[in-house]
Amino acid sequence: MEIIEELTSGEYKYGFVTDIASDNAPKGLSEEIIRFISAKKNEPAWLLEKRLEAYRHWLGMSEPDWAMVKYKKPNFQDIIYYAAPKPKKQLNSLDEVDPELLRTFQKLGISLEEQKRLSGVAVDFVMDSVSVKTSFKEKLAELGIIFCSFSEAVQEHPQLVQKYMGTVVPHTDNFYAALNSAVFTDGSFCYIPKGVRCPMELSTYFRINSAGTGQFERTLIVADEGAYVSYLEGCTAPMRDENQLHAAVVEIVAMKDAEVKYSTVQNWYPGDKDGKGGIFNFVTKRGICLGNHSKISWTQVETGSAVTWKYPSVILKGDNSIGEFFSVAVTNNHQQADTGTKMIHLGKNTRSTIVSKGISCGYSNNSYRGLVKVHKSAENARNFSQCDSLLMGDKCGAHTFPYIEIQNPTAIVEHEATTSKVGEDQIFYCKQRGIDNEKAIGLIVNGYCKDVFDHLPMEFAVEAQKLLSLSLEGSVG
Amino acid sequence: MLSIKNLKASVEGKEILKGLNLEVKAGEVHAIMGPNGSGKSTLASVLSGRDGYEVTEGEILFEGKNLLDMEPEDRAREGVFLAFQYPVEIPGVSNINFLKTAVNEIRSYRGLGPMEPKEFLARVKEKQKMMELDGRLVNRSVNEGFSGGEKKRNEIFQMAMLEPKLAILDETDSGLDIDALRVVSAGVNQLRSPHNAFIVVTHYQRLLDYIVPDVVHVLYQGRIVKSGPKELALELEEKGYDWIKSEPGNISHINI
Amino acid sequence: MLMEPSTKTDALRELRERARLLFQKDGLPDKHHEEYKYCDITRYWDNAFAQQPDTTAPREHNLQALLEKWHISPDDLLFVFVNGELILHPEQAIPGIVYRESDENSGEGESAPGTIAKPEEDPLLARHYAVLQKYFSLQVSPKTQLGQTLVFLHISDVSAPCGISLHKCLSIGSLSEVSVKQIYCSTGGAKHLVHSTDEWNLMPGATVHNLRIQEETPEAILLHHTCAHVQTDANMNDYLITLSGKLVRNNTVFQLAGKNAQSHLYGLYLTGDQMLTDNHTLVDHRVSDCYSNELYKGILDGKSTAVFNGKIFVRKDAQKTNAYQSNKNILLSPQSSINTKPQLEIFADDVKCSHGTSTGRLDEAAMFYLKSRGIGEVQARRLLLMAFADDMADKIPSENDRVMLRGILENRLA
Repeated sequence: MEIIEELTSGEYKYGFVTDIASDNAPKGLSEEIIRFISAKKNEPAWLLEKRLEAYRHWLGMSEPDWAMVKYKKPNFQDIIYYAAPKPKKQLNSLDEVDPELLRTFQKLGISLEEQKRLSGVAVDFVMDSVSVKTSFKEKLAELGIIFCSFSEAVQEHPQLVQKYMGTVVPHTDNFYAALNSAVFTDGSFCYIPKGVRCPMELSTYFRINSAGTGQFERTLIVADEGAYVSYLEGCTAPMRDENQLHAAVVEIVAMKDAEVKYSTVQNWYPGDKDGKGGIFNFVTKRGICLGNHSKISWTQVETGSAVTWKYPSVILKGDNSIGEFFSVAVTNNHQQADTGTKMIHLGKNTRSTIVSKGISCGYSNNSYRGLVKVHKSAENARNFSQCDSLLMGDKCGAHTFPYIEIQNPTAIVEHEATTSKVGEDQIFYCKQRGIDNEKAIGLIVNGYCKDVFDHLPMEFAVEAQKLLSLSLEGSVG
Repeated sequence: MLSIKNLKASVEGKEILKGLNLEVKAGEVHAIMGPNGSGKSTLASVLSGRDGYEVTEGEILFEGKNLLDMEPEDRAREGVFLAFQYPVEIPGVSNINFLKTAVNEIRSYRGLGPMEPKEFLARVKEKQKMMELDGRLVNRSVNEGFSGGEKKRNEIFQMAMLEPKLAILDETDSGLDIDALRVVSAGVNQLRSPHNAFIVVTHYQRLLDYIVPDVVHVLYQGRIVKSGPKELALELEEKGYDWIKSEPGNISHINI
Repeated sequence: MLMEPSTKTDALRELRERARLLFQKDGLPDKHHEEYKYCDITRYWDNAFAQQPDTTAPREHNLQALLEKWHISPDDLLFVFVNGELILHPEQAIPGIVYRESDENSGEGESAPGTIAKPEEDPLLARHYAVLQKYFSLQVSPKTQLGQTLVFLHISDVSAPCGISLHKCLSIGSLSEVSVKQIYCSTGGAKHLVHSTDEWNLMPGATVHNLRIQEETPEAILLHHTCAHVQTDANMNDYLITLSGKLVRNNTVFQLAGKNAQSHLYGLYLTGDQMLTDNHTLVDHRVSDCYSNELYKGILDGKSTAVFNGKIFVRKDAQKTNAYQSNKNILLSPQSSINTKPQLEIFADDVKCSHGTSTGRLDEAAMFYLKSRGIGEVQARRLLLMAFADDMADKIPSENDRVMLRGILENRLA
């Protein structure tokens, strides 16, 4: 089919390099580098101690190889662990932002002004791990909401950071979480106080800009009793021939009756059509429903990265808590994705839903890997999982690895998975109505992903649909 | 409008159409009847350009253009519409989005800009009323979870929206109860004009009580073996297809 | 009839040596081995499994009772293995069938062991071949329509801890059809291991119905590999009933190696007490246009654990594959648990593959409905469980075997 040919020639539209001099740490990783980062960020002693502890633990760990991905293991001594764009001084308004950076925003299609004017989204922009600008801070502050860069939170709200950081993803969790805990440079922090419904969507854009850098950001979201927040995260990176490492940690804590909705559109540079370059996206995302009746919902649209290794998870500790995972993962050319979720049911009457839609094109491999675990204590737990894979072309692979472990007889757990290709009869039906091949496939694939897009906030859903059509279409030139 | 000359077509190497001739002029309704396996659905598929049908001989001209040279979507854009015998389900794609895309693709082919949303919605409302289609169906995924009757009504609804020059109804009556048949036929009759034409492919005479044809053709073993006025359908109903089979020499063409 | 020994070869000895080296290197799989994640063999292992079983002759009345219990009729073609020894086989020659036992001194039969189930593929297979001393082989000639059922009754009757090895090579000729019934049961009380491997080769157009029933003592460990090479147009049907044992691990691997090959896997496991049962299935779609279907159902009671791990593997170019898999479980007791891992690995695009799994309690609405019609708790429960199990039992082609199975289920689920 000619579409397949066309699909394999998709080009990355966000591959520009922003020309801002970086203030880099020397290459490599050692206790000295960690001390350098910590000093650079003027951190309290306890945080440096935490970093060193994580680093020492990391030294004793080996890189995981159980995922269905193949890649050349990064040389951890060949990475720059700290790259802050200049100027680093605190910015108070958009006018003070480097115009080059503003152009970056515009190329990304997320101009802050636009965002401000149209949607009232508060944006935290993290470039090469350093937070550049957080808008709407004052407005949020009136409600007692803290939304700032992680570094700022360390300075301004150390007690909150110290209390929650590492409680959901301890540094011992896995290789990349340990690495992140040792070397993270920035990220976002968000705290919603008791009973507050955050009136706007909070948003962070991550971008890796400098060559040879790794991005190790950390996000911590705490929703206190009865609080609600919807949080958006977007990512892009310029085109480079080398592989760059992105190893982030996201932690979410939801107290009693709190709800956190976390949406991601991940569009890191996937490498070129021969599989050269691209981001290694090794991310640990986890939330804990700590209180009763709390809810955490992950929605992700994954179109970028050369290799993705990511399992946004929920620990359902509070009784009657709810965990959700909605995912669309598209792989093209030589991309590899091994992604899914873990739903750990501990509390009574806990519910989880998993909807995963994988689309494989070109020479890519796309795997769903998930765990649903119902512990003995989880009376009346419920889970429903639906994992569908769509194959476009005969050179790609689609795989499903669900693990289901049930230790309580009152559980009801259902899992369904299907693998198929876009129906020829569907394409013909569209054509008979005057719709050409490319548009027909776009329509059908977007329809296939609808269950997930429905869970994205409106403006993000539009972006996701465009991105999806782009990764399928660009191709259909 | 449509001129088919000596059309031979095969599926998986087996010849189904064996030299079919048909002339359809604007304003006409042609019924094509025939026993199972005579080639009725093959004809509909070949006209619309479905994969897997090989035309080995003959030509099809649509308004003077060679239809066989065109991609299926270009045939649709030229004004050929096929009401499917088995309408396809497309999960997650709403009817309205589907239709809007189709309408605007066809308009763009004809050098027109997208239809104004207001006008589009007004037309949807009007046609949906005509087809007695539940308003909610329009927002549901294309054909997904529709009953057999709803699917067929949806086909005619789409036809009404796209305003084709030539509409081919492939066994549109199959699986319809009498009420649905009445609605579908009324829809077709309202769309009849001196500028368009219909080919109604059916196994039974029943549909032709509602959509009265100008001429009836009997397709048998890949050829049109008999053509006549609408009364021919009644005769067929009465005598069955064995009557045609028993007089193989009886091949005549009536041009009106 | 028994075949004459063929020329002497060292093939079995070489295979054993190859496997021994592998086993020496890898050892027994524990929970760190992905395929044994939920079934740590080292925890169940006993050094006594290296011991040969004592050669106790079966008591005549004992055998008769077993024949009755398992609905084995005089018409059936009966092979009885006691502690791994073939002690009884049909007296008359069977048209179209030859069989023999082989060891390293008697040379190999038509089909050599280790060709379909290779020691490299699984650490337990390596262990199996490392200790294998002899094997049974059976060939069915082309175009043989066997009216009678081939019955393999494997009895372990041991008084001291030991390990029993069984290996069968079954080659089914083109366009032949055979029905096989295999019983694995133990009568002795001592702790022991039964390590059994069946290698099936289905020639083009062959059809096999393979019913396996496993009822071991709470002291027994049964490791059972079933590997089938299914050629063009051939059809492998496997019906597996697991009733008891301390640990029952089934590795069922079907290779669909010729166009239009089919496989159907049906399984039912009833677990109780401390039992662990682990069903691993792999349907390997190697070529295009094949069809596979799988349904495994489990009813778990006591402190038992069940594992289901089913993989559908569609290789590159295995287009037009249709593959389906379903696993359903009911947990009856608070201490029972289930680990299930249905997997799809797909490298071809023009395929229709699906899997589904569900785990839950008995349907409360259905229970209430039955009760409202005056049916008591116990009866209602039994009815619903029977209905759940019947779904699988219905698939067994022989009326005689369905009746037998329903009898067993009635007893177990009462």
